[in-house]
Amino acid sequence: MIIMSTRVPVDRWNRPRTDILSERKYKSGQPPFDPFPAVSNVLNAALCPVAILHDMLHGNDSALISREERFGGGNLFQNFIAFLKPAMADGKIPPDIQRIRFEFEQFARSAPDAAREKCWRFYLERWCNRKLEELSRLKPNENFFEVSVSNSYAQFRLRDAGTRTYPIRGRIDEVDLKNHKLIERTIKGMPTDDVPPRLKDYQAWLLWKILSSVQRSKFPAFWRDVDFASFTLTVETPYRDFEVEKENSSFEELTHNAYSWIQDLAKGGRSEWEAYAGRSCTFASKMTDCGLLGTCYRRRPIFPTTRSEIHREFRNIYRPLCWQVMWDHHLLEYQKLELEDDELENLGHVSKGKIISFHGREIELELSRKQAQPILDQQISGESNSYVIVVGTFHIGFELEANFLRSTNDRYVMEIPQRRLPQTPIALIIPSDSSVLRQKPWFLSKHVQRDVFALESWGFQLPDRAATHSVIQFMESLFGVKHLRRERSARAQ
Amino acid sequence: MTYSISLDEVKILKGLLLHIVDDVQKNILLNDAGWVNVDPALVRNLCEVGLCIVNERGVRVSPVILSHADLPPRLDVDGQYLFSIFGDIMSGSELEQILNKIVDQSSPYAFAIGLERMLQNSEFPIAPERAVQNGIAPDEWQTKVAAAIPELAMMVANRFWNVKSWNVILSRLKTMNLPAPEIKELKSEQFGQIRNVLAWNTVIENMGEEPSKALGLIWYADYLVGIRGIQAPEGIALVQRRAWSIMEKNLGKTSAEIKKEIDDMTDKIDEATREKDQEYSTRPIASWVDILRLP
Repeated sequence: MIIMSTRVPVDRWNRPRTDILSERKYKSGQPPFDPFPAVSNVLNAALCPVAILHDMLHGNDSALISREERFGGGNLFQNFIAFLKPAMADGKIPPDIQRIRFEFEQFARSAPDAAREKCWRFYLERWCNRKLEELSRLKPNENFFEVSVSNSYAQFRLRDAGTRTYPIRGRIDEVDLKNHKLIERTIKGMPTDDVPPRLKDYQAWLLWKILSSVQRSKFPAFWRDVDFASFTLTVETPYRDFEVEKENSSFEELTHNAYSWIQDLAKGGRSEWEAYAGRSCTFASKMTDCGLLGTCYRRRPIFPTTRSEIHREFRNIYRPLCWQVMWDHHLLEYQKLELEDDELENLGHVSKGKIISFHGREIELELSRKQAQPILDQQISGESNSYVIVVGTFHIGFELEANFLRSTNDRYVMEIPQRRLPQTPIALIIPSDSSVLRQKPWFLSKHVQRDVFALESWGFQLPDRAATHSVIQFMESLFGVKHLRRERSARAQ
Repeated sequence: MTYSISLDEVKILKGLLLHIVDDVQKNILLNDAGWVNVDPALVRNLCEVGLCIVNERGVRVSPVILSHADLPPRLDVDGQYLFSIFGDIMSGSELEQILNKIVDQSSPYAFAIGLERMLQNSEFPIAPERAVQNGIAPDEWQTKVAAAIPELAMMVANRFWNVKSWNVILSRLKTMNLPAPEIKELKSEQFGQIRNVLAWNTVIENMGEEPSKALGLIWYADYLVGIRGIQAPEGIALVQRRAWSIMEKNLGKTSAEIKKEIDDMTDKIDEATREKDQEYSTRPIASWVDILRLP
């Protein structure tokens, strides 16, 4: 049960000014704009203020992601279904459970045996048995997976009157064009559950809100006539499907609360203790499925004894790192939606190219010399080979992580994940161009946050152990009053 | 303490700890937290040695258990967690009393200490050219400005509360039995240059007394949390909530209004200290939100 404390909705969400968007202002200090959260951030904030605190300041976003989902069957479950459905629609795999099992074994051959076995037995087999008839009726190009959606002005109703608009981005597990359905899929839940897993219905609703609030002029050409507002919402577990009500005032309330926390925590100098005071559970009645239990309710080791001082110093690091993520990552998200294509190109963030072909996992693009320059620069400087190829628009499309393979004249070949992308007959418009974005390593700041917080929380319970551990002794000296002396080895004496 | 706690009594104490921690985590006031109905016979010995308190509201664990060295090693992991949280809650409660005392004696001295702590916690991010123009190498800026912090804070305290010396402040706080850090009354050699770099006179002109008071008290509360070594959010929340409620009562404003005044103040200083940029119109000489800020 969510017992989140109610907060006043924000007055307004601050978007970057034109000079910030066009990078005419030096990036430093606290960004003069509010974050551009992902759906996962909003879910954490809706779950508990402490969850979003850990997400934004300590680089730990695992409140709603179980270990099983992150490392176990979660990705395998979704990825296999994303492979299976198009293959069955094409008639390449018959609707036979043994044959599907065979295909799964091939598909997941690189996964550890135990994870593969578990994924099939507990999740996929049940899902396939339940869906076999539906799978047999699939037609090509009706189901699309991992659809990226983003809007900097998604609108949410206030309780009394009026609205607020917030930026939000996310990824939809499946869009079913034939049945007008948006599907959020998870391995969470039990066969006996009567309600969807915690906040999964809200997640589906948020994704639909983004999708249905995008202006039609921002739709990709291949989906220009689709009426996403009329889509039904479904949360799909291995055991059953749950329909989600679209008219839901409690979801609107959750959203305003969540954005209020996100704005306050990013601004700094406020709300850290308020977040703890307003957390959604207590030790005696904890949310047992929360991924942060070990962080919230763990006994702190006695040593180092200077932990309070360490926290006071380290907390000065967390927020600037959050700001760095906002400068490196969130600003780009705003830019992608707010700037015209040529402005993005001039800033070197985007190169446009014509898709020449798809062959398995390879995509061949044709780029003019000017468009290829950012990629060439990156090749020359020896930086990473990673790019994001966007097929569609930045509002609705497919973001594919790509690795540069080779180039000949104006043709560039990149490796992408095997994915079914929208295709249309020749008469319809196929996305003839793609945007190649260079990924900034913004996630490194999150790693630093996580490492610093781990160091702050780490220590020993036993004095003997602490007395001989050089890092503990160093921290006692650095943050406390201990005099650190270099000890001479017995041999030197 | 010579009383040896039995295994059953350890279990009872753990249960009582769970109740009080749970209530505080639910934001129930400490005075009302942790009371449970237990058969008095079960806790008679514990009450006699002062480990529990009994009254008409029921039974509750006493802070005396914090000095009972025999107890923590006999608790399981959850019990040890509860024991440490309870310790921090009680420390937080003691600090609440100190904060009440500051207001009762309407002491501006704690505000001055708080402002000094706030500046100590800043990296003083400025445009590097400002330091160079005033004869300070950019790589020396942090060291030089750190040495000048007591004087910078004193200028603010002097303007609003007419105090002129750290020695006076520290001795007054000592008399009032209030904690204070060690602050030396040293004159920084390059104070004049640092004041120019930061345009500190302009900054002070644009500071308001009420936001300065709020910053001072909240940072003083933060300092108290640090010296008591409180780690648990529950304990920190007690102190911070008390500091904010004192400030709300003192200024007759809500915390949201006070926070907005602080934001407005930094915006005003930001505007007042802008300098001409070579390429574009103007820019602030420093990131004031990183200097004049809440903890």
